Amino acid sequence: MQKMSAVKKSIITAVCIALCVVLPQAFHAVPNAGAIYLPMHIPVLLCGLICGWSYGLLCGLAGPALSALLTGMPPAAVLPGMMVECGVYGLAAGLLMQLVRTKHLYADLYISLAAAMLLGRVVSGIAKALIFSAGSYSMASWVAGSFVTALPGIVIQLALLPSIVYALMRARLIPQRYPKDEE
Amino acid sequence: MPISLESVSYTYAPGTAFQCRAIDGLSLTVDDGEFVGIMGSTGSGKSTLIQLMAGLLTPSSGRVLLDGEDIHQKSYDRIKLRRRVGLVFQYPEYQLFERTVEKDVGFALRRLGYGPEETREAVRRALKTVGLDYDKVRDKSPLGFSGGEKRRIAIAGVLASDPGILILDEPVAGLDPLGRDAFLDMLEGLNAKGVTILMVSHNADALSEHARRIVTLKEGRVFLDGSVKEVFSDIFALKSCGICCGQSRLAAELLRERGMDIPEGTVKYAELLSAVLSARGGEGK
Amino acid sequence: MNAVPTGVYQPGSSFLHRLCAFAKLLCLIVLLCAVVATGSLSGYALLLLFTAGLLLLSRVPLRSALGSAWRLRWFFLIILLMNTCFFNPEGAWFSLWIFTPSPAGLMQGLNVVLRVLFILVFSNLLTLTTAPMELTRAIELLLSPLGLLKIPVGQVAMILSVAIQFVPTLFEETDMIRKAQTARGAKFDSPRLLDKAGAAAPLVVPIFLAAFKRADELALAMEARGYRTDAPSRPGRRLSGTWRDAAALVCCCLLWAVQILYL
Repeated sequence: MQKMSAVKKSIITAVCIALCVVLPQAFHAVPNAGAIYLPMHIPVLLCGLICGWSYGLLCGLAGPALSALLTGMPPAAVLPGMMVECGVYGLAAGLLMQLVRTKHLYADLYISLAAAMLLGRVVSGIAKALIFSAGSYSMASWVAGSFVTALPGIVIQLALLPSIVYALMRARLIPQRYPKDEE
Repeated sequence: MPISLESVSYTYAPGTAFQCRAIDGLSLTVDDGEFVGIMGSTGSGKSTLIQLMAGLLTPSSGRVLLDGEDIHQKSYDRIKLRRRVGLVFQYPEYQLFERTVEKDVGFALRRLGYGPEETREAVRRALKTVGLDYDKVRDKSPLGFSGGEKRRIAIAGVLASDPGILILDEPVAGLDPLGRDAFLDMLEGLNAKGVTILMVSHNADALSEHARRIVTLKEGRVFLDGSVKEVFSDIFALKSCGICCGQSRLAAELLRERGMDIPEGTVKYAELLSAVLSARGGEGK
Repeated sequence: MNAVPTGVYQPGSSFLHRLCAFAKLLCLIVLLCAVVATGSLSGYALLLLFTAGLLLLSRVPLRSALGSAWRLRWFFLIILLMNTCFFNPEGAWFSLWIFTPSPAGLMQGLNVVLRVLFILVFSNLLTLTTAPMELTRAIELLLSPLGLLKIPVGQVAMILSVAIQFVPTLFEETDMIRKAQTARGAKFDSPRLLDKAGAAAPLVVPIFLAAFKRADELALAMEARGYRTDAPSRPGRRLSGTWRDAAALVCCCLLWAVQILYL
């Protein structure tokens, strides 16, 4: 996935930022969807995987901010924490995708995704504890919020993201990662 | 199984600054086996109308009846509605998502509770209807095909559940001329088998060749409703709601203005051709 | 999701609407500092008075200014209860199992809730009275010093403005895809987890395909017209502050000063 021009990466990033606004609204009809699907994480992770760490970072920072600006969600109070979390997702997904090259697309994707999702939660947990809500934030509530409540979202993202990448490659909208191996 | 709307109104974003009444007290009945073309300028309420008919939007007031039952009642079986009414959106190729053609075409069937054997047969039949070979395409990714083929696969996905009523929103947009003709012939074939067809289109040529009834909308109401000949007879009334007649109808008008003896109600290409030939024949060929 | 949301921005011509976006952004930042500096009841009373004045000046309906706060009412209530019950076990009124409600806890809870509430209302007022495009330009201006750190501010600004322009289109496309899949019998509210994952795919995969197709087309068009990300960025708009902008900024700074010095 190295062959895309900077312009194309920029526009893909723009589209992913826009999807950070649109996707949560698309799931609006489903009760409790925000907490379950974590729809804003999907475009951020994808942007990191496809465009690289710098674009992923920008998407993670700008996506939640733009969504707050246009739709009022997430509310200003949780926005900084969310921006840190998503920023790390995009950054880590991009870096890992660059480092992990197992010659198998799916292995690369799963390793990068799982590690990025873990890293994002750890970093945002530390950030929240230190900066945004000092004192009122405990280990237990971090584990509960980051892993237990979010478990369905994690499972869904691990299932969904590789199939999105696969579909985009099949539709020839992004270049193949291993042109010879993957048909 | 007729589908009918009883003084239906629909308002977008009620109670906000962006409030907009898209459909305004509209009544319309479509009987079994009809081939209806729906026309109107942009913003006349066409898309809203078909979404109301397919039960995707709930009317602000009024009722939508399918076989005499109100589809927006709580007790109405949604699955039944989805099996009966197939809806093809503009650019349906954007709905494709599965890994293989077979899975994508069968998606609706699995949702509607078909068994595996039943599903395979229905998928095979639907692909045949749209002119694709089941055995050749079944295991391929639907996303790797060309634009026209993707659209056929997507439409097969709607046809697979064998809907008695097929509603299409601008289905020929973006198809090449040959693909368009093949597609319209396929619709004629389905209609001949008894499927009710409702087709929204700006393409007056396609509608005047294939539809039997035309409904035109203006500002959320039915403006003209009648046979193709009736509706296309008054070019100026049509112009007033932003619709242009088909080429054959316009040519007939121009030829008549220049003194050629073309009968009223000439709308189809074949009709125009024979009218011109017989008029010329009168002059001794 | 019936209509395309045009954002929370409500067009108008009030005093707040006519302020320049950059000034409003600076005011918001100063106001946030003022809120954080507030700690006493009289301080909150002053903030309340100030907010009421802003609401009058903005002439936006109370509903839209306070709507998002109302949506968070349960969140506020829980914060309040948690702080009341757990904050200060020593000075508790009484203790029941693990609950030790205390006046100090109640004050702490009120503090948190009121701060969040005021921040929410102030930022709402900014987004309600400022067109998104104006706001991005203001943010770009605010971030322009980052260019010194080799961060390509021009490219980032281009990405942001393209993103904003994509939002309405993608909303429409998403809505269409959701309806098309619903017409094919897709359901998005199954109770089982794996079903949920399965249910998201028919919606999310086509949305990404459609969005990336648009991105592909736009990128191609931009490259064809010779756009390069490393090209020198266009000169920024000149600042055109008026006495109004200056007055607004001075008022906000005064409020901050009063909060720090006296209350």
